[in-house]
Amino acid sequence: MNPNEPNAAGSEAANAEAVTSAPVAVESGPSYLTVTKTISSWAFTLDHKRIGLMYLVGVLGMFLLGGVFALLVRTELFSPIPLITPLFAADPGAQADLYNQWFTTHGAIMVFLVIIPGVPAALGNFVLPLLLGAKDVAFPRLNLGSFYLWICGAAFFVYVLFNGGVDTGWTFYTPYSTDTSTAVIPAVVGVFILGFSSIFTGLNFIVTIHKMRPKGMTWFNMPLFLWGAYSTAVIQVLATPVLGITLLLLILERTLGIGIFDASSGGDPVLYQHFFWFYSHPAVYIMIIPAMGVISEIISVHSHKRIFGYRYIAYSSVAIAIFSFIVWGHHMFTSGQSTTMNIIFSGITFSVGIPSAIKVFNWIATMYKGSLTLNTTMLYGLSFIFLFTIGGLTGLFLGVLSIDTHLHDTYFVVAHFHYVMMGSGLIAFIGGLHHWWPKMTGKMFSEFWGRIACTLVFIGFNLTFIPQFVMGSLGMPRRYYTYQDKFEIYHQLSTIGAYVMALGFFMTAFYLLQSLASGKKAPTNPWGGNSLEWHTPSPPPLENFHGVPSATDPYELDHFDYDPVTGNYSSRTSTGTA
Amino acid sequence: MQLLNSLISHMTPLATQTGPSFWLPAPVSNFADTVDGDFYFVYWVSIFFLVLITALLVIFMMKFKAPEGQKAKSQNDHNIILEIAWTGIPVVLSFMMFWYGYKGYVAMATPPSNAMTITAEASRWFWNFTYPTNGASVPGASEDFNEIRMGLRDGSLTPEQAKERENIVLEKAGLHVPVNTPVRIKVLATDVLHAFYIPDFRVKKDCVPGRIGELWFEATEPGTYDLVCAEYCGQGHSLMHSKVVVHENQESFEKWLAVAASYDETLPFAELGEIVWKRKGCVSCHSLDGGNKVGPTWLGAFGSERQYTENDVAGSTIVDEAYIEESIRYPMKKIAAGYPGQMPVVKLTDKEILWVTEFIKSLGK
Amino acid sequence: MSGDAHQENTEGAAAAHEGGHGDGHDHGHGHSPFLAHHFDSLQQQFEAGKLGMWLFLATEVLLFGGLFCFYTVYKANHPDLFEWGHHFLDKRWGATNTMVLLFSSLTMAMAVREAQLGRKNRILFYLIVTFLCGMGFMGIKYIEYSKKFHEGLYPGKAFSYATVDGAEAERKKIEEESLMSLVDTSLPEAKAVTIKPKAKTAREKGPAVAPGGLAIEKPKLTEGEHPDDPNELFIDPSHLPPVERPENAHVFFSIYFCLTGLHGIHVLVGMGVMVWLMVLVMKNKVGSEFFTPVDLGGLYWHLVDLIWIYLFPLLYLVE
Ligand code: HEA
Ligand code: HEA
Ligand code: HEC
Ligand code: CUA
Ligand SMILES: [Cu+2]
Repeated sequence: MNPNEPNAAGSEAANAEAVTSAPVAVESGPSYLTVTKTISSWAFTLDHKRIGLMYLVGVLGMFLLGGVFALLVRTELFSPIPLITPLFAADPGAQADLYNQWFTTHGAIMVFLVIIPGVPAALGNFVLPLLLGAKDVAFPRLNLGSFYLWICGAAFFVYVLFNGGVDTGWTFYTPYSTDTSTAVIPAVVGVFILGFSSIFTGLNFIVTIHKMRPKGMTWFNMPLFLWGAYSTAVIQVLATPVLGITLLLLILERTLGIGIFDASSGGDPVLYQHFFWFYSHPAVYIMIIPAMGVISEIISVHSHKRIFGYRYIAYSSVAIAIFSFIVWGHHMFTSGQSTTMNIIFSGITFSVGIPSAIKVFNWIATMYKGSLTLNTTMLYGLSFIFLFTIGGLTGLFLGVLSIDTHLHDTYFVVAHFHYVMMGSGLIAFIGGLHHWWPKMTGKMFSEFWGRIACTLVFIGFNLTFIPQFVMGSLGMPRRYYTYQDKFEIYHQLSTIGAYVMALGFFMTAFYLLQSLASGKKAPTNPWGGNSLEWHTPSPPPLENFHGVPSATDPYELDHFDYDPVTGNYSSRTSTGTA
Repeated sequence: MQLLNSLISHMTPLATQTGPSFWLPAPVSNFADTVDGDFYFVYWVSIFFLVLITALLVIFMMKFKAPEGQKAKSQNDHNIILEIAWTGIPVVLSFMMFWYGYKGYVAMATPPSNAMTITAEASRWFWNFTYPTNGASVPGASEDFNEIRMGLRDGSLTPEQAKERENIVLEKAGLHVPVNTPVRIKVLATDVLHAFYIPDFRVKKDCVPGRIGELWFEATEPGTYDLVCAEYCGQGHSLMHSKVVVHENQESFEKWLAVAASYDETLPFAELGEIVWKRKGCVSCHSLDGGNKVGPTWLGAFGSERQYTENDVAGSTIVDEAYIEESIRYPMKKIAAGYPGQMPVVKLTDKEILWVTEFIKSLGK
Repeated sequence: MSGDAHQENTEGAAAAHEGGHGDGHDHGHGHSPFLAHHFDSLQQQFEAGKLGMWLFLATEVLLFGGLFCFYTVYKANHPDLFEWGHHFLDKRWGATNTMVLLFSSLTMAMAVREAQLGRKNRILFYLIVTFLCGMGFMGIKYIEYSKKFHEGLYPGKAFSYATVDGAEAERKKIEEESLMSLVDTSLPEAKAVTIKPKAKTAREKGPAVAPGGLAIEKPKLTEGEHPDDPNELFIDPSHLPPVERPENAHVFFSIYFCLTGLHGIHVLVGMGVMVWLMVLVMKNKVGSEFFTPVDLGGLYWHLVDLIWIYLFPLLYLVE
């Protein structure tokens, strides 16, 4: 954020003491963006909003980097004969190695640096205390610490890019990862550090939600985003340490040869897979549960209608979190684990589908007889429901033992997880970004370009990944540098789709940046939401609220009057800030 | 259940056809019908929900679209009957999915006792198949198939020529099985993970070092099908192709097996060595054109001087017959300088070692 | 909301933020100096800290949980490995260390109690004792580790089979020699034959009694002489496990070093925490009103202690 940008409150803000006690003090204090302006006031800030914003910039930057690698992968796959790798390496073997590094880097960056910290750490950091009516998270210093751990992890990844790359796939399966000559160790250390960053964020959120709710806010009074954030945090705290120790063991295996994953020393490579998925399956719900929380907010607010089935949605978040710990084996149906284990894991896998179904139907019911504003944010919300339905339903194919035997490690799986991670997790992240953009920056973005970009992303996305379902079920294995001619047409469609989607994202980046410079000033409540963040100025002051907020019913949405001139929703009955 | 079964068989209009369909490859094993049936069951359930949800989304979008500031028509926020319905129906449906998958899978996991066992051994990046009756060890010949594929693509081979070359290769390579006979495949790996995958048969199993995996099938349609590696294994992962040939009958299979077991020993040694180089996978690491792959090139290797380390002690030698033999039998003993100690132990017979040596010699000093 | 209250809030917060932390010198507004700006009460702050610590301990347990899985899986697959390996660990040192840690938990608990009472000198005293116990523990670990390293018993591939092989060969030689010396060569040979029991498991216990009732005691091995060159790897044959060496013996030491190593790192961190607490106490940052840091440090120390309580029997007392 440019601290020098003109801001209505900016002139007064230069000197914090100059705040007057005028009757409109609520609107005129300095915002968290302008209260201090030095670089170090950002670098050492303990304010959750600034930390959230820094995360946001970092995560979006990494999204761009991961996206560039995705485009490299897709461009290469436009043809079964080497297309662009020969530009970088002469030797055919080295070309294949390069491709392998591309998809590994793409997957690892997208998972560990983008989507896991995306909603919880970037958006969550910003809105969670606001939604709670708290001044900050419980441990602000820990919060800053986890941000710097994230930076540190990202630095390791960047180091790896320039020092040999890594070509193991984002799963780091042994024995390949203990054997390859690429820079596995720095990459693994990076993931290890990112794991701790994630743990600390989760820990902070759990404590904040438990201990810092204002008077009058019961558990069932919280906005659903908080239920999502809470369930996510539980997974982060309970699953990530296992990943940590697994990666340590992997490092030790690679350096010292301790023998745990090494068949020739009596160890077992499949044990690594158990360890890895014990974390990484719950991790996929780290990506989706907070995204679902965002969607609950978006659908309800932009339909101007109470969320349908509040308790069912809240409980289903918790249910997904709990079930997520006991289905990891469904990634290993063909690995040679025992038939009994396969059957048990397959059975439990379906249990996750039920709470997901409950959520989807409740969102749809929320829209019934609502008053839908089809703005950019809502379009992202609607895209989410459609794409998540496809992603989730194709997950069911994979959970069926007999079908997964055929589909495992094919592009069907690739398409499945892009529908849920990118089409759902990331779309919700971008949707949430638009939803809270006015609150974060104090600026409105261009609705016109927003809708066009969203449509492009939606079309491009489906064009990219629907052909992948088809070729996957026809038997196209994943992580293939070259493929048989019969798959060419699908790959070409997919590549075209990826470029359409990229166009949409670049457009998004452009109009969002443009809104910072010349966007309309955002009112306090541009969408008509009633959770606490809509009761404090946009952008909020340093300690979030002027005075002590008292809990509202976050889904009581019909007591607002819309002012077409300012674009603000103001409440008729005065609830909110005391 | 009876009713359901018949319902499902109606939902799978494509399961009985023979060629590939829009979604699935040709169904040519005893499992294909079950798997495809399960697939289409989940498929139609999914289509139902997807259409339902999309229709609701679109209808609501059009019907309840409203200008900014308009109040919603209702603030109703719960309906217990709806909640029960949309919890209960998915529970039932997903139990059915699980059930069919489980049934199908148990059949796939239990080979019949009279099955013929073939061992499939995966190494970076080639297959090796060992047959029970005469212990013949036949290569997957990935390199040949990829050459043919590329030849077809760049136009240097017509489809007929390609087919012809493929047939020649398949005389002594690939996985051969008789039709309508239960075959059990024992899958092994020598270095890293691989996976044995025949899409047309709907079977897949990971090859895990230190473990013995198994799968079985009964091919139902004579023909030639693809066999691929489905678990990421590094540089040559996408080239780890081979073919499955389903013979029309037991006799034809046995006839093939008798021939495949032997080299054509009338050929000169160097040429036999070249065959070994291809068939036993040396090709994936040793080039003949001076290019560097995982291991040193064989071009001009013979008689050249080689720096190596043995137990961390550096040394040097001339590449001669003895050094080559040692390198093949005990690859981890002397590690050539500048290369990773990644050469696997490939079990070659004495004759084969002799031929390879002659072949390397023939590549110049 | 009154303008005054508003102004006060902003100022206090700005001060706290600019200083990088609420450093407790902001006495003006009737708040406790220990209260961070974003909490409403000390009670809330304390509870938040405590909950956070428990969650952190949960992650620690899971971290070790992964290693315990390693242990369990390997033990289930290769029980003989542990049967053999634990003989290399000195139970006396292990037990001593257990006592040391248990005692330190007691002194830590005393420190927490004194902190609640706000008695500065006594807090310091108990913290120092706890710290010294930590030092003692690490000292003993140092002795144990250096013995292992000296004998070439490294984790993983660096493990030297040479010493074990050498010692085994030597033991065999000594055994044979002393057996020969026990045998009355004038008697018929058969009586001197030693046979191995038909062991069902790997639990063989050395040569059994020869037939004919002529009890031939297993020869007592005396401590062998250490080689003159101290750099030479040496294991005393009398210290070799009485059971046969299993395959992949080095993995036992991988497990041993992973578990005790990670635990050792935690002890070191705990000692660092003690030092930090001492500084806090000396700077009067801890008092009966605000003893959260000591309380939380104590929780951490107890966890480290608890993990050792599991490690000791799992590694040292395998039978
Ligand atoms: C955000 C991430 C995310 C999410 C939410 C999910 C959700 C699900 N996933 Fe997915 N999955 C991944 C990310 C995710 N997955 C990744 C990254 C991989 C591959 C990793 C790799 O190998 O690299 C993977 C792989 C994967 C596999 C392994 C495939 C293989 O490698 O062979 C399986 C198998 O069971 C599976 C199943 C499921 C299921 C059942 C769900 C369920 O949660 C879905 C539930 C949702 C619905 C069911 C839709 C809504 C419901 C209705 C519309 C009502 C109708 C419902 C019924 C009739 C039940 N996933
Ligand atoms: C969140 C996770 C995520 C996301 C978002 C994506 C996004 C994309 N992925 Fe990715 N993918 C993975 C996770 C993800 N992927 C994982 C885990 C794997 C497995 C790796 C493995 O096998 O080990 C994988 C593998 C994978 C493959 C398979 C490779 C193979 O098996 O050989 C392919 C192939 O098409 C692919 C394509 C794409 C494409 C085209 C996109 C596109 O959607 C990307 C579009 C994005 C951009 C073009 C960037 C634009 C960004 C900006 C302009 C800046 C942003 C600013 C604002 C919006 C404000 N991915
Ligand atoms: C996975 C890769 C790989 C495969 C497959 C492989 N090798 Fe090698 N080979 C290597 C590497 C790496 C070296 C160099 C390191 C060493 O000396 O062990 C090597 C070295 C050699 C050498 C010594 C050559 C020299 O110039 O130093 C010979 C001979 C050899 N291989 C023969 C074979 C034969 C014969 C086969 C097949 C039956 C084969 N290799 C298969 C990787 C491989
Ligand atoms: Cu072999 Cu992939
Ligand atoms: Cu999963």
